[in-house]
Amino acid sequence: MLKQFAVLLKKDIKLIIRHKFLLVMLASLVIYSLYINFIYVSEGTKPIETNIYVLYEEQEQNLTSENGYITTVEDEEALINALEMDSDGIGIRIDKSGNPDSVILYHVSEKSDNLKALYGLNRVIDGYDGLEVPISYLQKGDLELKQRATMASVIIFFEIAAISFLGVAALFFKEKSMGVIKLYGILPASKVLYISSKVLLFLVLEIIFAVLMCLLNVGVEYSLQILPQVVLQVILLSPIMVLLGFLFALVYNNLKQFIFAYTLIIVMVTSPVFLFVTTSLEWDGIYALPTYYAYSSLYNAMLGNPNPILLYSLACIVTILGLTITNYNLMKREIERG
Amino acid sequence: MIKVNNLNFSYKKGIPILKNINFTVQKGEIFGFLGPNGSGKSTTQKILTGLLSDYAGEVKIEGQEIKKRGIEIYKDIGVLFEMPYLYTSLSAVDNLEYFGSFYPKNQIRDIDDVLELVNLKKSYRKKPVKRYSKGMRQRVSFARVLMSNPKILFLDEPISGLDPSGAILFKKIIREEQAKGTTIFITTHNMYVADELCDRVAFIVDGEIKALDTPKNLKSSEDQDSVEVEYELNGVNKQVKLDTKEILNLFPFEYDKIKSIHTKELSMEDVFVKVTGRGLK
Repeated sequence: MLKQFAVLLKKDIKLIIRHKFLLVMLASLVIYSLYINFIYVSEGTKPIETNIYVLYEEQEQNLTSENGYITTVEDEEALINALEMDSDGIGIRIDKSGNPDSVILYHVSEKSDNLKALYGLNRVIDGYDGLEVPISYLQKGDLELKQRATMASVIIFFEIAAISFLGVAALFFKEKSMGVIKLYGILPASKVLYISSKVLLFLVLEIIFAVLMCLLNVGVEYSLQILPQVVLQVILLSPIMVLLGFLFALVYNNLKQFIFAYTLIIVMVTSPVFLFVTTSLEWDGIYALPTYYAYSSLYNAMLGNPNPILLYSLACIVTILGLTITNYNLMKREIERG
Repeated sequence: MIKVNNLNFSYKKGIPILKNINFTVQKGEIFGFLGPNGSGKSTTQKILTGLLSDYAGEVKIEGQEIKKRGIEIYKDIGVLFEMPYLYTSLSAVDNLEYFGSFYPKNQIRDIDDVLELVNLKKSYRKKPVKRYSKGMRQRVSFARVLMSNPKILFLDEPISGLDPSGAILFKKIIREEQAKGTTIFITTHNMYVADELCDRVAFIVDGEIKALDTPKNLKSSEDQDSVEVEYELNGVNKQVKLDTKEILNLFPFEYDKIKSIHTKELSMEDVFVKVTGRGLK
């Protein structure tokens, strides 16, 4: 059985090399890393969409930078009013010594409060060290790391949920179009091995991708801290997405139908979670999407603040087993139909 | 070798596809399963090759119920599909190496030997299959089936897509396999193949076997009560088909010279139409 599994794995490796999947993966690693290092981090530190309202109490104003996103208000009432008008804004009150007295975040989710507060303070106070503000664990300098980790988590998740999903489906459609899928019905090898070899291959590729993504974008030192948790998340998530890609490829007759479904999934199920996990946006419906929990777990692992793993792991394992059984039966049906 | 007893099968909608099918194929026999499209021959082959298991009745291969044998049965059987299913981005050699690696090493024939057997040009053997013609792909597919030395061969339309020399070669290989003791089950609607190759044939129509015998017996069982006479009259060649009883009373026509008299033999297709009341399309 082990020998047969090795044979299947070798064949799948040959196929993904010949169909240039590895090239796509490598290109996306390079392009996304260049984006994070040269565009996202340098451009992304600017508060593009977030307005900062500053109240200076009994002291001379000392704005360190002037731009359209920073507004000085005269009193607390004006500050509250400004935040009521702009639910995504940040209010900062500076005491007479020039230190921040408090950071007021109006209707902002807990997960992004700290990031946004630090964001605002860094814009308003030159050399702000965070000591006087009720935000304990973020310090100046963490912002960029956090941004890098956030974007890296988005890309790793997208790679798994979209590229692998599409990759395994493309591979399967190729085998389906060549008709070789029918041969697996009459070979002395289990169909589960056929499915498992793809799961393992994509898992290994995703782990390599995630490790390289971390090393290239959040640095070696931080990567070493977070990688065990991140790899664990990849181990739990990648088989699910590969098996889902396989299932969709089995359900849909051709690549065109599949691409339509795939686009819907990307637009409706995968992309929104990035928005709701990494920003202050709130929507109750997002909690109904399994991808929300999957991405949250990866995101928190990337930020060095992993979620409790036991229940989540259990849910993932049950899902993997369920999908394997479903795919086995669908594959059997596909072979019978031929 | 193959024993089918009271085989019935229907898909979920409940429409019976196979009705009470019975036949036995002996070791070393070439058995033809003939029928028009939708007659149930593919379903029968799927059951015999273990792809469909929700059937009623008894289907035994080498004395064991096929349902109970699991995937180990595929070490003993080889299946050639009508379409040449291969990895098109891999070469013939890579395909054979890959598919061969699922079988025990001592069971596998040498790749070059089987490619030589099916007469695949040496210059093509390491080129991707996508560059091959359909006939060449069919040769590689046949090599894939042969390389595991199966005890039973299931061949679905084995010579479809082949040029005449390929068809002759395939028929020669099939006979050689038979000579080695391999049991061969051919599914086809090509009557000439059945007539030429098969020791016995079964006609299946609408899920029922309508006739089962040797091609010779099937043909002779139908009355051959006519003769065809070619003759010349006033310098013009003519021919006429007559009841054999009529010629007992001399030829009831005017002629200068009888050129030939021969019986009009029924083809397998004629027999099929007579037995089943319909054609093979």
